[in-house]
Amino acid sequence: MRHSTILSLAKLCAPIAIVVAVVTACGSSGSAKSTSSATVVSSSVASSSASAVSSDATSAGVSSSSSVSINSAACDALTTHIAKVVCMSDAFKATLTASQLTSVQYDWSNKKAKTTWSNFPTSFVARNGLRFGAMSAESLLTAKALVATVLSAEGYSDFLGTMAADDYLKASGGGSDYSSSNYYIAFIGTPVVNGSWMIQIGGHHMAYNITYLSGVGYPTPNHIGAEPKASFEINSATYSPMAGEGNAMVAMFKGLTSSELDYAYLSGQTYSDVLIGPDNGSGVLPSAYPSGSNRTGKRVSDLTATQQALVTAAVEQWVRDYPSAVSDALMADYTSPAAYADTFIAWAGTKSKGVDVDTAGTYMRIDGPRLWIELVCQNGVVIQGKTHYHAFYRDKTMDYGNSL
Amino acid sequence: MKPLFSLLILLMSFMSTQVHAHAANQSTLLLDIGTDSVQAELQIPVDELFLALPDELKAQSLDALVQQKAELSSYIDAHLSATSSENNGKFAIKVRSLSVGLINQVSNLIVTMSLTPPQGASPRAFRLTDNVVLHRVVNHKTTVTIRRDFANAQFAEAPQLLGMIYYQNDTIVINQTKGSLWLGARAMIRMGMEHIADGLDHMLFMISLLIIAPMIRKRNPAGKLVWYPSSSVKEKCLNIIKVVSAFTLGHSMTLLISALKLISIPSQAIEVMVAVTILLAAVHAIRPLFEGRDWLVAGAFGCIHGMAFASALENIGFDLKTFVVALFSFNLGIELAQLLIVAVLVPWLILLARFSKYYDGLRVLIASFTALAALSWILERALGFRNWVNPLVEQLFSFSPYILLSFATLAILSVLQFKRNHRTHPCAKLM
Repeated sequence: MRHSTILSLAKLCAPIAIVVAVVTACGSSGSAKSTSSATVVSSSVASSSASAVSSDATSAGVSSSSSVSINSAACDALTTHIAKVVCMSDAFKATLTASQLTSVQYDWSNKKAKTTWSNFPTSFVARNGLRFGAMSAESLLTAKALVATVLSAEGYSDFLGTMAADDYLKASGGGSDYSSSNYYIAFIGTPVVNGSWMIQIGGHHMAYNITYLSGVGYPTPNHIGAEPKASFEINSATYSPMAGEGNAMVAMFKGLTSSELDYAYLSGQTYSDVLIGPDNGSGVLPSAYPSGSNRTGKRVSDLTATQQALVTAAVEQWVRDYPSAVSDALMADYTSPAAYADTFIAWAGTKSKGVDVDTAGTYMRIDGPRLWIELVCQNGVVIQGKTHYHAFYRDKTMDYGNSL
Repeated sequence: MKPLFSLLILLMSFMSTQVHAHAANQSTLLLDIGTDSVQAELQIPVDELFLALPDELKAQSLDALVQQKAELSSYIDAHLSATSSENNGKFAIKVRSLSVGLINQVSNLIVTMSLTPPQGASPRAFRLTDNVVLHRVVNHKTTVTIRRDFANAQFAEAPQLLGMIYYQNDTIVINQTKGSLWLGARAMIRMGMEHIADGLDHMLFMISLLIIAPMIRKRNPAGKLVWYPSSSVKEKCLNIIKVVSAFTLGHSMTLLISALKLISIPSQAIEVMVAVTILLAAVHAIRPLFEGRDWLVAGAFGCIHGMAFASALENIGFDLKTFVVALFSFNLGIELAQLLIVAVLVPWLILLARFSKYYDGLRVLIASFTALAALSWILERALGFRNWVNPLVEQLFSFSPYILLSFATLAILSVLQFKRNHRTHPCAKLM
């Protein structure tokens, strides 16, 4: 009797099991929808009056969330550039939440992360790290202060101008892909004074990739672009982030005689974009530099002192975007007589138009033993009918501090 | 389902805020490695192409340009070459077609070509030099991929990146000598099996056929056709074999005909018809719709399903020998999967039909569920009316191992119960 009760119970249970399965399926299918990944937002302001810095820092750190100002006195007081950079990095990190800290920090060995940067809008190519738009007001201020420490005054002004250009493009009907809040900051390796690490700051038309090796900074590969390339006004301020760069490159070629200009022309070559653009996460250095007989153009050491000064002035437009602690050594190496004996300036485009930045396809470059600068004029994307700049500054031997 | 989805995606992409001129200025070269030749497709962004063309071609509009097959062919010819790695002989390159198409929202010139190796050389090992556009636009890059290579189980769904062609690097070495027909056949068998495993609609159809396999039709006193359990095992097995064989024959025939592109019916229509066959099969499993000649109906339905299967083979554009092997292997995979379903399901169905008084209820429940699913598919595929039934069906199928287990459990319990109830009747025969 007992057996049959169990059996009949079991026989009852089996269909019930099926029904339960159906009901659970109904239930979970309702919640099967998942929200798409939302950006990290934490409105909670990180604590801290303490800045996670070396012991000789006086109590400084960040003020509370109500007043948006930061006190960088402690970092300014440090004597070396690298110490200041590390101090400011730590001050920035101190404002972040735990999950923001995780997203902003990459491993030093991560070659893919190191080589992930781009000129495209961030909706096309994802950037590493933490988005400006996802930061608290305090974090954003500290981030900008960090950038101001990492770059020189000119560099910081270019940085602000590039972001403002994105807001300008958005206001000009470019859509929400463009915005000054779509810029990112990331650390690859932990910021330390006596070690190896990298900072990436980037977004549309911007890529700063500065590798610090025991305090020495290597600021390439670097990208800066500008649409519009002429000066523009947004939010009651006027910007022209690449006017200096563009004008200096043009001046360099305008300083040549007509036969020299002819000689420097890359005949038979058309440039719709630069030769060596983003590395796209490849993890390796690019290998497409012109070599051997393909290295054409006007040799800089063959130019007069005045003409060479114009070349140096153009180079400075990129290299002096970084503080002298970083740029002095680089300038010395790039513009030494030995370097100039192996440096060529060349241009391409519509020959009859000359070096005309308002003609699409106009291309200029400086090709040295280490130094590599390209500037190309492309058709406008948002602002139709006007060209815009794409520029890349690389170091053939010391990109990423040669630490890939 | 699929064409509707792709139409939706296409529409959405057109509605996105901005077509970025930033984007893709790269060419793509897709290689299909065959037994006697290589078929290549070169996709060139039109903007880049126009920067590189000789002046007389440059002056044309795009539409006019595409008509100039001879001139464009000779331009391509001048900048593309292939040399056999075996005997250093040159491949013969012939442009087959030119067209313009949108790829990733960018207008591209699409050039299809055949590359034939020199006498006695294999098409699987060669050096390819390509400076189309690159000869002039020095920043131009070309992505080279192997799109199809049957002998290496490489199918069009996921092209394999071979490398890049760019400034000062315009030659790429292709070496596909490893691989065999068996490798490809094996992959196609797996593809056939996966096609059934992923095809919920087909599975439900099969289940609808199988749940009536242990039954026969009789007219009830009211004259209506109803299902009765059949007591003959032999008859049941024979029935199943006849129905499954007819279905197999039907779908094999139309799979072949469709894959050979001898008939061409819009895939949306096929998908709707498949859903209709499922509906009919489900209703028939509740209350018989017709008497006799099951195999004929199964064969007819098989024909419809075969056309749906062929859509999975759409992209298999190989030469004849490979095609035959591919088709045969794919069909074999389908059969193996179906046999597996039969083997896994039928014993329990037979036991349940014989020993469980719940079988009728179960049959009606499953058939009703199938009918509901089929209805929702018809609505979705014919009218694009997406509803909540499809996700429910998919969710339920994720529980299928458990459902099968409960079937098996129920069957065993029914047998035990039956044995128990009939223990006191020594004359009662089991089976």
